[in-house]
Amino acid sequence: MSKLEVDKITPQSGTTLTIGEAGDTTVVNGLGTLPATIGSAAQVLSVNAGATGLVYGTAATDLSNLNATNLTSGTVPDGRFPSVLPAAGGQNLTSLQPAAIVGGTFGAINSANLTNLNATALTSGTLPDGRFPSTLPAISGANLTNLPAGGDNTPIVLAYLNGASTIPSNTATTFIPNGTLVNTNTVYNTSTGVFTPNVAGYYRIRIQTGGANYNGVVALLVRVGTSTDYFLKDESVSSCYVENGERIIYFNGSSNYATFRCFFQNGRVISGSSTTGNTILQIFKIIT
Amino acid sequence: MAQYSTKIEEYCKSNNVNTVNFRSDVLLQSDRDEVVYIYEWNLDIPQPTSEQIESYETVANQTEANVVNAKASGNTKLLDLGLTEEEVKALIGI
Repeated sequence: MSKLEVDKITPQSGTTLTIGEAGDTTVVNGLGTLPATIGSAAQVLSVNAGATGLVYGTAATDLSNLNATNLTSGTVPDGRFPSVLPAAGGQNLTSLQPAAIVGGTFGAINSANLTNLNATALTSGTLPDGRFPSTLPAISGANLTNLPAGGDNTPIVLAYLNGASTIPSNTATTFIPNGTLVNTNTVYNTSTGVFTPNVAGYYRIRIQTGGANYNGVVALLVRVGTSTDYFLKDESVSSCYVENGERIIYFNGSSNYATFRCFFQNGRVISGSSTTGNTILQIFKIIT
Repeated sequence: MAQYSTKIEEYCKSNNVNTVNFRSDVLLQSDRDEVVYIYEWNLDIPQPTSEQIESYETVANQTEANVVNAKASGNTKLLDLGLTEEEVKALIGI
């Protein structure tokens, strides 16, 4: 390789020293200290990959291997950021302005650290029951309106035996009051004599049988389900025209049901009608 | 037709059990089909079959008739003693 050593290169005319031609990518090694101006304003001098020399080009695209660490002053214009920021963590972002958030949905983050929340801002939706204390604050209820009444004794059954029924002696016998004056939600079946309340709760059940004088042991029973008997009356009577008994029994409002039985030591014909009321069944749900 | 309980009482008598408590010894039931049956048997003698119970139909009928006759006889004797019908009814509770 030949080598030319010169102390100074002076332009032939003017003040412009031209090396090669515009667009060349000639590497000039060992250029040393550059003069104040190289090339025209539209041309750029850069260090190429490997820093083995200078690349003399015409645009900033010719610059390569730039290091952002060297950006020590000035402001990067908005246009230099991509429209979609890289998916890097934003933990160190500070002074973020909520006003700048104009769309999207916040993720399911924990709001435990939110403070200074103002209930006035709750303008829609319904607070769930669990957000109220079991004991309400002792504030005045003077302005509460539309408070419900205490409740109703429903379902109600007022049934009567329409006609007569022969009860064999010494036999716990199912009897069926087959007429109704009140039968809320048809909870009592006048064909089968089965009472199946559709609301859970305690029910007062009153049975009355009668229609003629009777002497002997009388028992009035409610059978819940297939085998559980509750006695409403169990005693020996004399010259008794009607007998009655009552009891309060709980029903679950779905599967619990009951039938009604009577026992007469000496057998009996019980009778009734919608008006005489000798043999009747009365059931009320108790407000609790 | 005799009462089912009367027939059971006659069966018990024939097995040396002279009193039956139908609230504890023997529980009879009749459901919506009106057929009387033994729901619970708590006596020491064997529980009879339906056929055994029905075999006591005749003697049970006689027993029930005897009760009716006894009431009528007793009523007559009370009247013969000089009691009025109202007094007799008051005494026997009808």
